[in-house]
Amino acid sequence: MLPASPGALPLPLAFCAPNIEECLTKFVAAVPTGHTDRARDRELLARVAQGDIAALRAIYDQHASRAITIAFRILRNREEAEDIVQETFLEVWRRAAQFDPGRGGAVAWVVTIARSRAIDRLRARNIAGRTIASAAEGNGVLVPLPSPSPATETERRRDERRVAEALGTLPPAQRRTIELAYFEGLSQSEIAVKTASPLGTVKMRVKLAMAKLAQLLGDEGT
Amino acid sequence: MMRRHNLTCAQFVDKAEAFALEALDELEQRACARHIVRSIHHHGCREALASAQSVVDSLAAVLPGGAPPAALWSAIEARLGIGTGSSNAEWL
Repeated sequence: MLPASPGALPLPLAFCAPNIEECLTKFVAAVPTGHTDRARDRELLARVAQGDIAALRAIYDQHASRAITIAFRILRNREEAEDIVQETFLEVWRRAAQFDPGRGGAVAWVVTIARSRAIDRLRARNIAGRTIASAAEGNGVLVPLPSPSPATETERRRDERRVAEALGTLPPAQRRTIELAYFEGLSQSEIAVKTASPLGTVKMRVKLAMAKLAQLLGDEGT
Repeated sequence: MMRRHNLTCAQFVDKAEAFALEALDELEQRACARHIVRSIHHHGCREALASAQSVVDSLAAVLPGGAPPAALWSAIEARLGIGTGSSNAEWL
């Protein structure tokens, strides 16, 4: 199924309307992707916008792993996760010209698309009480990527360490809430049920955690 | 038919973090989307959303890497019609 069918929503956030993804793209701030990554992403996506399939393949090689990881962690189904990744890269292909380098790197864009589509699919299933496996379970389905260039790898590891450290500063309940929301795609209501916490408590944890992360990541990113 | 709930800027700002995480329930998520897109004048909405979205984008950095199945790229190529002379120009 190609996503360009007239009735299909090509957006990662499957609202009937309006186009929130385009809106978000305009407003969001830079993400902590290294300058080398960003320059390369900009160049690659410009080439994709011109119809360069080799450039799309390069982006795929760099970022598909994270896209499939987040899709799998949300959907817990390998076939569906792979389908999400296919849809994600079809979307990258046709929307590359809309990529906003001011927002951040291609990895954030690709993962956002994959994650949003996975959440859409999950919520369409309307599965109650699904089991949430550990983070380690989600990691086990993939094999290591070939080594990227040293500069790219250094930037990637720095970003990873920086975000992991920021998450590590959160109180356990807040960190768990963010993990369930971001990595497992649960809504606040679902998190409340999952953690046997009042919904108001979950909402407060989300606010406090996001504020702390914004402070830590914003400070370090400048 | 469900009645649409129009948010104020203060209400949107209060929900911005969860909205960026896509962690709101469906109706709230849609209400936030409508608010940020349709309203012309905002009071802190864009800033709150930008900050929250920046955090969400950052979280991608801790996703573990790994190689997707070898056949996956071939499937993408097939869906793009690669090899039959197509390009993404038709999508634009």
